Amino acid sequence: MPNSPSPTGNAERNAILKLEGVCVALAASRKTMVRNISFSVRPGEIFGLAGESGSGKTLLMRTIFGLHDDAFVEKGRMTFKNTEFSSSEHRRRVRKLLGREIGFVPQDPFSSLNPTMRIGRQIREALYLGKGISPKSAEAGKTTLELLKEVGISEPATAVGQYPDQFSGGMRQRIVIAIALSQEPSILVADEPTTALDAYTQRRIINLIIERSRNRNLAVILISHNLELLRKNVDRIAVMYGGQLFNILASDEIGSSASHPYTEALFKCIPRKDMNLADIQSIPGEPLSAGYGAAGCAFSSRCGLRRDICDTSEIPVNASLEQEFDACLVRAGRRP
Amino acid sequence: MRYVLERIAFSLFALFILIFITFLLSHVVPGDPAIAAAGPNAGAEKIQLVRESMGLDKPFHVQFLVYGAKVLAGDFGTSWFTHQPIADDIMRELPPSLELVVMAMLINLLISFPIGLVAARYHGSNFDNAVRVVAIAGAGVPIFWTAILLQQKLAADWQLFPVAGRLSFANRDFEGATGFYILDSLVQMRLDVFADLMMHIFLPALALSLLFTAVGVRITRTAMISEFRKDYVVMARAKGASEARIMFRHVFRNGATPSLTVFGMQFGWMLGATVLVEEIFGRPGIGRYAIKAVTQSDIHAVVGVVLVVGLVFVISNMAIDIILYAINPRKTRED
Repeated sequence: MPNSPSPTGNAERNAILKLEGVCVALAASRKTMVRNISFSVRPGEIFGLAGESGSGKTLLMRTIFGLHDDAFVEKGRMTFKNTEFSSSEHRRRVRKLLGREIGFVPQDPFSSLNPTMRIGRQIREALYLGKGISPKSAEAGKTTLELLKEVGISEPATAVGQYPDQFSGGMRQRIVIAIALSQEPSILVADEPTTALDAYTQRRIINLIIERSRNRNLAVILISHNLELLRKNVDRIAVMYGGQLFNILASDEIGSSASHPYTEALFKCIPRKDMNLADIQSIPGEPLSAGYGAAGCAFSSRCGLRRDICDTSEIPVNASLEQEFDACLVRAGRRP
Repeated sequence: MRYVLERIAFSLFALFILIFITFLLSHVVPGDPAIAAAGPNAGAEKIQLVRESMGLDKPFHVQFLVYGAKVLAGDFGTSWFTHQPIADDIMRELPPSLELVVMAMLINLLISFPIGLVAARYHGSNFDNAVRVVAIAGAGVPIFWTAILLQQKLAADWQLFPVAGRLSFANRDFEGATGFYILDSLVQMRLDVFADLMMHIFLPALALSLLFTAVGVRITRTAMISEFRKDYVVMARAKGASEARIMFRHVFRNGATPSLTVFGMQFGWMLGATVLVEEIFGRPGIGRYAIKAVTQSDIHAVVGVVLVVGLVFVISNMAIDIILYAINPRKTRED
């Protein structure tokens, strides 16, 4: 098992990314949207971040990596490759790592490429910004072709002179990934990279990312609302709901006792081949958005295990950066 | 290429409509031109002769064809007031006005694009709010008031600029091949004249541009805000691009389209608005010529001015359409 819980001290030293008690607030209203997120990601690990729309997963990722203008890190600490980023000056400092240490693949391949810039130029720009290769040099041209070939673009020499609208969604996402990988980051954040794509293309894009991760020891944070996709492809999954971190578990432990009730509920929503239509469940009630401000567990109103404690106590936080973590107040009482 | 030809055909059609409207214009004016032209003491026979010589006895459509042919040949008739061919008058008065409009447009673009872009980037900030307030206020200030205020304060009170005219008295004999003195002075290497021209044109151009600039800033800002929300901006940031690179290399070109359309129309509107500024600053130009023609009921001169202003409007819009086409790779390719 690659992901068995390890002593925290060891995990902490090895981690490429550590979040400790990170809170994210909106710039305009100063409302706290995401609270007390703590987890660590190891080099080369494929880490899944799951949650329904509005759970705060994208907001959290975009904010800690300095990509969000409308939100900021309000509290807590991020450590990336042994460099600490405290909440003040966070964005300005982390942006210096963008394009070098951190790669990012946005959700919608149809809008994540500049529509009026040729593909080749967009890749050469990435090479220039990330590795200082002059865009006009022969090296830049050669590397660009190699990158496109690597991600499965069949005629790279033609592709470099074309514009994004001449490619399908899947092809564009490959190009976006080529751009992110061209800078050889140590961590790649992919925000729902396959949501806009059909099942077959989805498979190929995910495989492309996983293959790269294995070959180059690239850490990947895969953000998705699709728990099944994560379960099949990542090492560990963190589950968020209402801006809170509920659960961190190895992907093969979903459905086991390590699951938080919300993780379990999500898992039961996934249709499987051996199911009748009637067996597919849904979670009662409406999903809560990030920014849940009241005390207690954000999921309590929809949870079958609800006790009084769920509405009065603060949920546990993963303060010691355990590899696995369960924030359920009810189960915490029952566990040995 | 097909698109370009289409735009040219469309412009020619617009031009045809324009000629037709100006033709109607001279027909709906009260009074019989033959009687007016024959003079107060002419008898019925004389009037009839004049009518025939002017072609006014011909059917409506024949008159229109004759008129159209003349206009296309650059013959707008003779001014009743200057007794010169109107085409010559306009050729003399148009260059200073176009110079004024081009300068005003330059000021407009130099303010609208950067301010609109930066306000959009820092959307919701104090800077953005200030820009919005000033733009709204600016769009409500009439040009003649701006012109008088600038003239009074900057020229008369503080003496930073000349009060009126196109050139100083010392340079009154300057002549150039094109009539565009700014160009001519540069060609002749007369930098003293060039500087003099710039000092004279600055205030009128500023006065003419401010109202249009207020609109330009708002349009640019709105277009850029929606551009900054797109994922390719996030992608560029993730690539490590600086904010300046994102603004100028990525967002600007994509967000400039709606503003360019507006700037193209503004060019024609500005030429129409030179009337106010030229009168106040005592500059020669098509606007002042139009005022004289109107006040003296010089109908053919008025028609000539309307035609030429309309022509500039049609051409500037066509030019913008073609520019927008040229910078849009998808449209260029689909042709």
